[in-house]
Amino acid sequence: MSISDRDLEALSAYLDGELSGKERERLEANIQIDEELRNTLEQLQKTRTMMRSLPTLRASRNYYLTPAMVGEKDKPRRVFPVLRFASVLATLLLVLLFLGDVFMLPNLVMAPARTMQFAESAVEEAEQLEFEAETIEGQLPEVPAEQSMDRLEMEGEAAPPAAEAIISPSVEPAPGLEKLMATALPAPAEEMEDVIGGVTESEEEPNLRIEMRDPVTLPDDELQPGINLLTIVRIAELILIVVALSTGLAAFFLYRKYK
Amino acid sequence: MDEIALIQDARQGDLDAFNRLILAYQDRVYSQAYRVLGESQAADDATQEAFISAYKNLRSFRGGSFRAWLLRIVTNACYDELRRRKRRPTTSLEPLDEDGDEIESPRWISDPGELPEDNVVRAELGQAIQHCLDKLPTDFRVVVVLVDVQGMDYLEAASVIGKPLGTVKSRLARARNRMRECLQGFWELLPMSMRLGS
Repeated sequence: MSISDRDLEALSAYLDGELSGKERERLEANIQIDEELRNTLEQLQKTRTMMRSLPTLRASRNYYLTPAMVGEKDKPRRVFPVLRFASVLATLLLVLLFLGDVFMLPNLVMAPARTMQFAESAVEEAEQLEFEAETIEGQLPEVPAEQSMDRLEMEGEAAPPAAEAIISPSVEPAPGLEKLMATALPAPAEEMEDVIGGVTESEEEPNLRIEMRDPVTLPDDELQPGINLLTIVRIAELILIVVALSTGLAAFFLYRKYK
Repeated sequence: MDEIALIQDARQGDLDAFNRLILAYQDRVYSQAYRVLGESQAADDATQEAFISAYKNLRSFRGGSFRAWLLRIVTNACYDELRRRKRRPTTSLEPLDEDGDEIESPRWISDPGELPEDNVVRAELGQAIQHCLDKLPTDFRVVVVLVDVQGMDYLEAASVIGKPLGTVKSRLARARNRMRECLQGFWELLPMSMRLGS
């Protein structure tokens, strides 16, 4: 009489303690009365014991994984062309910027410088004019105020209307000033009015002061864009140098490591 | 060893952490592969392949027994290897009897050498068990190795092979019965207490 598959399953599970309470009780009762079942159980137990006595085999080597084994080597390979392209692009931009810096930027930067030169020459000219005016004033004879007023009134009647504006009430010009001024500054009457008016209104110096102040303030304002542009270009050049070098070096080392 | 922390680190791409897990489990994984495939070179390849696959699919590990998860992967690798062998059959080096069947006598596999007698007997017994394991159908072999060699319970074994508990019970019982029959041919190798006789 052979053992059925069902009995075999029950015996095997019984050995592993995988039978429920009822199943175990029923099987134990059968084992008591069935010798073949008892013998099979004993043999299965020995077989199981032998199987469990098998040692866990030692691996013949270590199975450590390397980046190359798990495909991580490909990551740097994918990054390499990107780094190389970035390096080349940064270098090209740097060259273009450098060429622009050499050939175009000086013109942009020199424009305010020329303005400054012009302003300086204007200041020198104004100083010269001031000096001449002082010289002329020094040469004028001293005239009493009352006498000069009379003369002025007399001459004023015959003078053109423009001349009236020249002499303001607050000013007491010296006698013969008008003539001398006319000879010293051979300009039309209206222009003379402006010049002398400027002299008289601001106690003889405002126009000159304005001309001296202008050259100082003008270059600062006009130079600012040139300086800003130069600064931006320099910063851009610096950034491009850093990018080109870092990406280039990174690409080089990656190539050396994974070639 | 904080297994969970190592698994988390390995998931973040820390290969060193995974290599520490390999160090802890490589003997069990290799042992499973060897018992299923019965050949050291093939077991070596399957073990390596299993660890690579495990690392790449670490995100699919949902917790539970990491050992069971690894053994499942290596068992699948063994199935793949056995399928490859079926497609490209190789000539057996085992001696055949008059009927063309492999001789199951242990004499041809004994390697007396100069080892002490006990070691020789133990080695021969191990080879005999492996020989019988090789004779089992793959599905039976996988289950009996998982339960009787790896020491798993039925539930763990069921999770490894991805089959119901009843399948594990059934396959295990049949596998043990066939092993019992096979090992009776090697009775002279067995210690007295283990001899399978009535």
